[in-house]
Amino acid sequence: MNEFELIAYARAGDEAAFTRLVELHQTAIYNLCYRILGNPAEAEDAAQETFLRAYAQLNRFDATRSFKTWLFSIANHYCIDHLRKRRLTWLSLDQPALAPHPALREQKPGPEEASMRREQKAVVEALLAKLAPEDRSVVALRYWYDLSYEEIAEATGATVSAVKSRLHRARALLANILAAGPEPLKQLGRSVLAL
Amino acid sequence: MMISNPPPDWMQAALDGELSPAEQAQFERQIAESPEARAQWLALVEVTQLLGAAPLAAPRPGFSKRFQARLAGRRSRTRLLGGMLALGLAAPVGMVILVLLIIGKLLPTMLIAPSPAAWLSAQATAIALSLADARAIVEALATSVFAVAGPALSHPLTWVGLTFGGVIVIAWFHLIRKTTWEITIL
Repeated sequence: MNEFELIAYARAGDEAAFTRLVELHQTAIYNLCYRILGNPAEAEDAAQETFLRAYAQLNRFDATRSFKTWLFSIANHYCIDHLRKRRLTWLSLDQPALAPHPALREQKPGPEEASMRREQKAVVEALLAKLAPEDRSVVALRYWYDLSYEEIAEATGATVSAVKSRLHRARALLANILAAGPEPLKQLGRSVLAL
Repeated sequence: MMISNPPPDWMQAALDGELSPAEQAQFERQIAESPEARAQWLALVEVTQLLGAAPLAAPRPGFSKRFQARLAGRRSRTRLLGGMLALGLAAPVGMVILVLLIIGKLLPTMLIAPSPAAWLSAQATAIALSLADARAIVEALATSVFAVAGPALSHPLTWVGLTFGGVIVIAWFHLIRKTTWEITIL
């Protein structure tokens, strides 16, 4: 059964068909949530909520458009809202907004190739954590899903020029962080790319 | 010869492969000539490669099972919410009816009673009479229903009416449930 048929069955109330759609897109949606939120537990919760909302609104989905982009749109909005609420909670508790990621503070480089992979994950997460939530989602949609500017605009609800501007700003900021960051971080980035 | 840096937008356009061949050639010349621009360009390329090389993060196994459990939990919560909503609406309506009954029925008798004991006694008698009346009414209704139901159930139109009524009730409940479900989720 293809995606189009699964959507039709799910719309008719077939829960198994929707579960199959969940299985098809769970990694993509989880990854986007994880890249925006930076926390596995919150990403799991956000991805689950994304599918629940999609299930509840399935009749409103325009079948002429991409189902995956529609899911991205729901996930993106949920995560941005979640981050805003999280920020408000932090502010109300008078805590620092975001502690620097250990990978940015740590001075010892990972010598092993196996640990390099883990370090790469930490570097990417640390870099993403430096971005505004809206910029983070644009970067994730561009680099992990290779979406066009138009598709990113559809998923985020922004204009194409706003998407371009966010991506340009994010890349420039990340490049500056990487260039000006601690030497181990720079070395790590290069070693990871050399693998 | 004076070295000019490429326009800032060109670096981003070059990353996205959006420069024309002529622009690309000019860009490469400028990058080669300006150490500052080259450093900036290399940092951008590095970031792009780093992000592009990062794998997809996958959820823990059993994600769809957890989704099904959450869906079932949300549904039962919705039903509970619907029940509480109905109860919440019924309770104030019941209270209003009770208050109106007390004011309209009991207050006038209380005002004209010679003493509280006499009023209580009169109320007890009235309640006993009302209960006897209610019982008589229920018995009369049951007798009537049995008398009418027998011949009516043998008529096909009765069954058509009952089926139609049943369908209307089921459709109504389905609509209410679906609406409440969407409201709860969103």
